[in-house]
Amino acid sequence: MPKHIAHILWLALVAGFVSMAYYLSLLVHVPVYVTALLAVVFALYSFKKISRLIVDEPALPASKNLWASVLFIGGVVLLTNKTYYLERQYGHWDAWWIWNYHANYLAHPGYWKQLFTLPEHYHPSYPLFTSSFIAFFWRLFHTESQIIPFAAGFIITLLTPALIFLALYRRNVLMAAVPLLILATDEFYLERGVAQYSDVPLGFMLLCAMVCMAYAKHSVRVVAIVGALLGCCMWIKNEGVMLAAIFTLFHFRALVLRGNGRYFAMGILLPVIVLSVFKIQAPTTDIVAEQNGKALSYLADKSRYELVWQYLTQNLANNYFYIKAGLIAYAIICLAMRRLPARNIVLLVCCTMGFCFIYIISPKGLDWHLASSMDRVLLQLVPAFMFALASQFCELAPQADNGLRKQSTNL
Amino acid sequence: MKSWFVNIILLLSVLVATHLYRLKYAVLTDEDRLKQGIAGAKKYIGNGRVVIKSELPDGSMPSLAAYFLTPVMQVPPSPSGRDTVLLLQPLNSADSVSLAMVSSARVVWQNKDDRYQYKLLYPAN
Repeated sequence: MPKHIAHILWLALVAGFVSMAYYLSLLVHVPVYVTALLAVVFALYSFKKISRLIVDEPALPASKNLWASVLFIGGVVLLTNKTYYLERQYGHWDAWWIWNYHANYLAHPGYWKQLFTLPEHYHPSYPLFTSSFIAFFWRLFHTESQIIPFAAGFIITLLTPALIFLALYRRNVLMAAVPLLILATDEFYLERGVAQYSDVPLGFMLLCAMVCMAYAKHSVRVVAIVGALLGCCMWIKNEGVMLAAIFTLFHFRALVLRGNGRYFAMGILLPVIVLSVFKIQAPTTDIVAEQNGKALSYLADKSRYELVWQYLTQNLANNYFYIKAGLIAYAIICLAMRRLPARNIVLLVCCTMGFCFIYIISPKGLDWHLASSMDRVLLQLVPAFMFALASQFCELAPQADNGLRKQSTNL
Repeated sequence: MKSWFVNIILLLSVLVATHLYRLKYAVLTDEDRLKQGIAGAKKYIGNGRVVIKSELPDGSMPSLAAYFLTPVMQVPPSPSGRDTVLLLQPLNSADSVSLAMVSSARVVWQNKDDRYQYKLLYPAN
């Protein structure tokens, strides 16, 4: 695993650990300084472990390296500049209505449990990755400064395209730069990235798991990391459970069979425990609680499928045209070359279908539910889609590489 | 690309973004004004429920007010109308509904700044 990828995965793991440890510390009344100490110990330990996975990569030709550096700096500068105009002081609506509002409760050990008594419109059933992570720093630094949720959102918004670029640039600089530059200039992505929501963090964790999976055959430790990252997906949003389940099913052999199951279990154990404890405390998820046995009748209703399809195609056309174009191009190539689509692409298409299924059985007003959330929900898959597509195009693109082609098959 | 080079670029970007964020919001915004203006109401509501009625032009202000007053919960008006109400108004408000609310309730706390006024109303006995 290249060093810079290992560092980003390490950051994701530490963020997940901090969030979970803080939530558990509230349960057992541990002072925040002890949690901070525990987080430092975990950070040092995991850094040592993940450093062992780092393998020195063959040096790139100087011209290619320079070209990659210029594109990387360009992408980062564009992204930093553009977010300045899109950021808002307190984020967007759901930031102060859900995520930071929950963080406000968690930052106060005196009344954090009241979070679970909130009315349904405050969504107390939503998992607490983002809220707990922010609450930890608010409480640690005795502040309610808005710069903490902003910085957390910005770092993830930045690391997402950076990770795609860093995972692919050795195979094909241009193919790696396309996702970086698209995301660095896409206002829809950037605005939601710094909106202090949880959709981009979930997309980032799923992307980390997908990037990490490419190295699973090199070491069983990577399987444990993938498990932990999928666990973090579950701890970010309820739909993360579905994404993690689909991901595990698609990589079942590598993650669970061949004696890897216990490593996977080791990685996912802490998030599963934390999520289970949370689910015992929190009210039932609104979509489940409000079902009243109507799911079957919804499934038989053709008009619901049509409406979901209409919103899906609209979103692909308006907000994610680059994913749509990439998928169409990839489908044409697969047909022309008579090859099956890559596993990760099929995985993500299944995740999209999973989201559509949830909408179809949603007890809420379907039109309202789709209009208010589908664009953000699809954003959770966008980084992984971009990585998977760019990875496939890297494989197809002619390149004068220097023995790097072998690595590409892993991705 | 060397790992240290990548890390420095990413770190610089985060530092620049957070610095720009601080500069951008160093001035007093409407949200800050609201936060400061209603801070005094917190001790009168505690962790209770409040109906927030706003005449301010920005529609997000009521929910932002609830966020600033955490653990206060913003709730819709009850059928009985006997609610604790936080009123957010421009200084020169002449809204008849608000005037009627104020006259039929007990003002337990009020505050104003250079643009807005804030009143906390308890139901009259």
